[in-house]
Amino acid sequence: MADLPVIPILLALFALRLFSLRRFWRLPLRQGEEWFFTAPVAPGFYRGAGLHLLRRYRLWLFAPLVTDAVVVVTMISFGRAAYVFYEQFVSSVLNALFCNFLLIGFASRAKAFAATEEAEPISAVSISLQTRRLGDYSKRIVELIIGGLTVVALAMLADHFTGLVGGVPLRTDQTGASLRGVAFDVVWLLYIQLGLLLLKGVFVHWRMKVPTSRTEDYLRWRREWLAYHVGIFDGVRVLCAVKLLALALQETFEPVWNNRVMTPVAGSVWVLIILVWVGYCIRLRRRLAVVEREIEPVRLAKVFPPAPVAAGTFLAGGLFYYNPDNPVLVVRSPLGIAFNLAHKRGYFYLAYLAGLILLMGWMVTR
Amino acid sequence: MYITIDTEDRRPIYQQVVDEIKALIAKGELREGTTLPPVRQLAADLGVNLNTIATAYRELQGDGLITVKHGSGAVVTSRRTTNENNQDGLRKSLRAALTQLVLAGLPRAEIMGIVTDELRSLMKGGAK
Repeated sequence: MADLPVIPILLALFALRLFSLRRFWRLPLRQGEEWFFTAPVAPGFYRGAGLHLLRRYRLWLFAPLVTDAVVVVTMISFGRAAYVFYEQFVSSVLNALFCNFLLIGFASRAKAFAATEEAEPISAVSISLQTRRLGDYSKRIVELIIGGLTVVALAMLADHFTGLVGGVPLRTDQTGASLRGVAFDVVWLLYIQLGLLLLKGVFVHWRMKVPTSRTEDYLRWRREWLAYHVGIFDGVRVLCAVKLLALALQETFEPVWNNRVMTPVAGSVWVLIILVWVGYCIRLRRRLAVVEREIEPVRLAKVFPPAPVAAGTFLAGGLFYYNPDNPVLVVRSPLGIAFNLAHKRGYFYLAYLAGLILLMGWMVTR
Repeated sequence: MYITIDTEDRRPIYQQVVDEIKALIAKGELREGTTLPPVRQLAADLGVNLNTIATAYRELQGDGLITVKHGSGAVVTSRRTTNENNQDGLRKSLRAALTQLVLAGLPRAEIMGIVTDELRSLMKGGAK
């Protein structure tokens, strides 16, 4: 990652993340002053306890950014600047999870201040019959580009270090340190790609109830919402594949790559790629925003029937749940939510997270 | 394309799933060759047991409307049930539904209107 101008890119990334917080900043009041996100609240809520709750929520939104800034500064001061982009990937995912859980948590707290009149109970729900397989949301050309770039890059690296494809292998004393450094980058890039594929699967398979009123509108919004997230995930996967190829080119043509002319050229190309990437994200976000302004999906959340407490065995005081016949990973428990230990895919996610922690450990100690 | 399930409906959920899918097939919205969502997806969306949806799919398969292939999901194979010649049974079901309408105190013209509307809604997809 030495070819990247770290500080400007980091500043741009932080600015982008700060900009993307706008959405979470506005979401509690999206439906007006009678709501805190999807929780209906009593009139005058924001002149009393609601104001305090809203301020605390908005303050907490910045917690991941502040923590991340400290981590990044520490990494740079300890000479780990080359790894901050991997850290940025992990922290972006954690940031997104944190903001979503924060919003849900504060909306749940706001329910204590709900208006007293009982809403009419909702019992009907619609279910889409469209299949949601990973293949249904993957473009062949994108997968071919990612696969092709990855295979070419790995073949070039294998050839460079072992002479596998007929080249002359470097001598062991030449390759030792370089191979370890490259292996680290390659493992990270492949791991990020795998993680994004898993994340894409989570979004595609995410259970989808549809309200019985304005059903078509909701389905349209849902399609756009999924297209936005899948677009972002696929975009980052392409970036990882491009970076892998750049790494292979850098290693294979090291004398040319590291001369005085090439270093600024490579840096400029990367800045250009990142600018294109930011433009692509903004374009996707605008497309979704147009549909969200028209449909206002947050208003449809109130027309879902509440999920019942799952039937089955709860363990560890309701934190875990075991029922192989229930296909849901996170179910409603008497205490809140519980993880279904019989959900096989859940173990993949856990294994991935464990691997991520190990990689972070490797990054810190190497 | 979607189905609607009501937890306050007297019919069990699997029966509602069967009826809704049959209605979509009858209307022509689900054509032959259309792939239905896997049991796991539908059960997760509804928040019900896998067996509930598996039972519904088995019933649809028993009627000859879909084919369930392990691993590749369910596919609509026909727009005609295999028990279509069981006219006595169908007449009984129709009579039971009409009886409910008569007992609800609806006049004959209104009942005819309801039946015509429902039939029109079912046949607009080109059902013969």
